[in-house]
Amino acid sequence: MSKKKVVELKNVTLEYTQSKSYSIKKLFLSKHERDKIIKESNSLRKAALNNVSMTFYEGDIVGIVGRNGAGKSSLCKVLSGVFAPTEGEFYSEVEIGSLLTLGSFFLRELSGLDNVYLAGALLGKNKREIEEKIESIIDFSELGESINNPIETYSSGMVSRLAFSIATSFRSDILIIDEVLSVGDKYFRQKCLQRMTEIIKGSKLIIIVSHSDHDIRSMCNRAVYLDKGCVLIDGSVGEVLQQYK
Amino acid sequence: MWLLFYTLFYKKKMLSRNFYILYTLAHLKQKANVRGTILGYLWWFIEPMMLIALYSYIVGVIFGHAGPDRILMIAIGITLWKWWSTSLSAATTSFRRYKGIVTQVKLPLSILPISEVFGQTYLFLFGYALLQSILLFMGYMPDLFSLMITFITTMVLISALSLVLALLNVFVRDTAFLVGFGLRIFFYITPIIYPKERVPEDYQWLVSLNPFSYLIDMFNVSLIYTNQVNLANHLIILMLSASVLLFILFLVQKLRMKIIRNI
Repeated sequence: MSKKKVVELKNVTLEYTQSKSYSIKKLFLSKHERDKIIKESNSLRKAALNNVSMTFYEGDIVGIVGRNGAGKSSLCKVLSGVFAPTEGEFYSEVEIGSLLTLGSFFLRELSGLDNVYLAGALLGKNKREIEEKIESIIDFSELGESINNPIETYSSGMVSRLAFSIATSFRSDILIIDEVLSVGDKYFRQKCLQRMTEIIKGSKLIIIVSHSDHDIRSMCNRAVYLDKGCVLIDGSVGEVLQQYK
Repeated sequence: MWLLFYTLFYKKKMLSRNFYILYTLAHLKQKANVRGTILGYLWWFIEPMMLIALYSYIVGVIFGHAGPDRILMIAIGITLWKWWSTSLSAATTSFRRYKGIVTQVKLPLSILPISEVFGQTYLFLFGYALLQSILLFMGYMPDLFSLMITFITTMVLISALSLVLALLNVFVRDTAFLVGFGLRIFFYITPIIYPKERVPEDYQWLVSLNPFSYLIDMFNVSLIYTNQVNLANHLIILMLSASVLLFILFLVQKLRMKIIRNI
């Protein structure tokens, strides 16, 4: 293949080590209760990603599908550089990873506008670059005057509209969209899909996590089916979606 | 050669990005704090003023140890203490509060607690400006060079301490509670409302082991007793603080993954 490699994973395993939170309370519990807590707190669940090898090339728009807990979000975190794999090699050309689950990093007590600044800073933009985009972000998100209100007063639709506008306006090398296309009304969804087709040309790599067949079919040129931390299929969209059903 | 250029450029780009994040967090946070209040930033003057009045009354009138010097030292000490205690208590819970950022964005985690310190410094500078004008009015000229070193030392040391507390709070949740009353204890064992000479010989170790008392001392000599400035002393404290900060920065970077998972 002549396409340029952007990110490469070689036998990557990511383990959630048993999180050690020390607590006197645990001493007083019976063995049964203790086991129950360990099960509930998910600390027995080990490898979130198991021996995953993948290469992403420039221009790839990858849809990731899989059941809940299959390791989709973990994979995204490794890709954006937040998690370092426990084992295996990880090579990445990306300097600044994009935001994952959009909106979850918003500071609720800040206004929408301030969050735009914050997100811009986190994505490695400077003040001038941020201010160039502000107008179009407010426009696209249709927030109007409410941009000056704190995020905690927003409805969930408003939050996701703002998040989507921010993520697609401040472009970074890699854009990871984790389940955001599923919110917003029909009209806004249409607008999102249109925006996606516009930005697809300029981005190095786009990763879309979605449960919607339609979104993946209409945007991606490659798909990955994850299950229990392993890659089941990595191939064309049609192939993967057929198996996923 | 090209590699060297590339590394330098890359590092510089990342560094300026990190500083911009630091600035944005510190700045926006303070803006959000005063939103909706009638008096806004004025609160930052009002609270220390009330405390200064209160402690001056207790020390000056009730205990009868007053003198204009004493009141000034109390004023300096309380303004400083407000700066440090709010920085430290905000920093302790900072990883938790910025959970979204910690678990979603790749950035040096140390930025988050330090941004709290910078945000508070911002506010402290208003209080300091007021204090300094009063001191100038009363005829006390500060030793600017000493003051500068003192200020840098304080930033370094408070940042280091806030990182220690933030890091501890990730693994031992009880830290946040401990910091609450720990700061109160430190307020009283640090020579703020009394001069350190009043501490009996047997208890002097409480002063000499307490990092805050050195900082208070440095500010007092820089602002009022400028003839007692000992620059060598200042520099030693700065060096020590800087090495503590570097060590803890290294530690946070090392424990990055553990922090993200434990949060």
